[in-house]
Amino acid sequence: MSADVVVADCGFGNMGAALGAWRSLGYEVTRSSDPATLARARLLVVPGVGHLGAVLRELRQRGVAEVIAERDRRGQATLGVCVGMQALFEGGEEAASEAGLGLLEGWVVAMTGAPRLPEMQWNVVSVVADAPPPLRVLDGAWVYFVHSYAVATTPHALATEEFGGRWVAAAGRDALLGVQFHPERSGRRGLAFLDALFRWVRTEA
Amino acid sequence: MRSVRIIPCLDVDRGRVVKGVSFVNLRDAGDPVELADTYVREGADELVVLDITASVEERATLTELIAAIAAKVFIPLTVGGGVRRLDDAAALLEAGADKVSINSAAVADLGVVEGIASRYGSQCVVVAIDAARRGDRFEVFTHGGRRPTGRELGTWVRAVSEAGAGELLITSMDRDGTGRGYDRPIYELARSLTSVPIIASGGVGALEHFVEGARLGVEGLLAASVFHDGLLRIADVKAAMLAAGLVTRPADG
Repeated sequence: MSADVVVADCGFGNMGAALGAWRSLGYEVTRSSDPATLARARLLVVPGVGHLGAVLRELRQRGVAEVIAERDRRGQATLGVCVGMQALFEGGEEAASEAGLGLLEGWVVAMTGAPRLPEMQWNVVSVVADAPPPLRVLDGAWVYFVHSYAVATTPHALATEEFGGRWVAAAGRDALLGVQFHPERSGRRGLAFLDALFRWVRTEA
Repeated sequence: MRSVRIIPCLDVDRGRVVKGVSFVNLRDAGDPVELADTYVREGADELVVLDITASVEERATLTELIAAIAAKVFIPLTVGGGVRRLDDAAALLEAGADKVSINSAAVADLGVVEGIASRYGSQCVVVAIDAARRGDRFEVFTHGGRRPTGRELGTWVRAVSEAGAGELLITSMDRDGTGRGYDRPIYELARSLTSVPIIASGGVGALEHFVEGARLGVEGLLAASVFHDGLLRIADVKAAMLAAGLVTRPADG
């Protein structure tokens, strides 16, 4: 049996928050570090807080990196959140010696020009016109960000924010999606996005 | 764009929200889960829960309380009071907190800040600082404002920033509970010495204090009694800030 949503448990930070949001929406959500369980999920959520290098090492050591790549090849849905999104790119300035998962083109860079770091605040996102429907519900919405690094340019950009420059707030292709903000901490708009995302996954899959 | 957060603070003693003036004379102000839910509906951008329970045994219920709040509230949640070790932080983050706030334990051993920051990232670590005037300087206090440390605010702000604090929650003990507005000099000093976000706390008594506070250039404005007493509503605070041309998430955002 597989749960609707499985949150990859790699030992990072606020698991309680990630799980609670899905639970409040009425979905069956579990946490797991077992690659087989992660591989079977309808939607895999990869959270991530802290240092990009540490997150990438954990994802590789626990076999989660390979699961994400395999799900991508099969067209199974995966959502990376915050550093979990950053990990999907080719690499980052914060961890120059650790290669990214390389599933999305682009590099994670320090947010040079930002008024104060980390950006720890609500900000408005602009969503591109041809973004998947779950993201479209967030166009013009205020969502919560916590980060000091971000992707500045990628061909996969789906949403942006302005904070001393324009930064990628969401990116993806096919069933692979990453969001720099925290939907589980973005109030009712964040929950509406998660709800729309799962409905979209269920319809498309 | 840069925006300012409005942050109601719930001081919790043995599972109930309490309020007091200058850290003493505590009175009951309600159920924390109900209050948290109300504030989020009214447009709060973040919640701070500080456990001021005196005894360590009664503190075990804090993680249960945080789990109850986190199951209902989906905005950032900062929790403090009695965080002394990495394990304390881990339990709160596991229960649903996004950030832990450290005060006395940081003064006792700055290594606690470094330890939590290196394990969970700086963004998880808020250092709370209680300060009061001593002549032309500000002195840092611990233990709920009861114990002077002999440390000067500016030196301490630099030290905790270097140790990995991701945010500073600075309370003016001189202004706390007075309703005279935020303590401008404290935040001007702190802003000049650190690049991490700052939450101002202590002194709000009227809508215009939020507008003045936002103009100090801090990232967050914390208040307790004015909200608990029903003197001000968060939606009205947001409306006043927007009317003054300040950037903040609208109450219905």
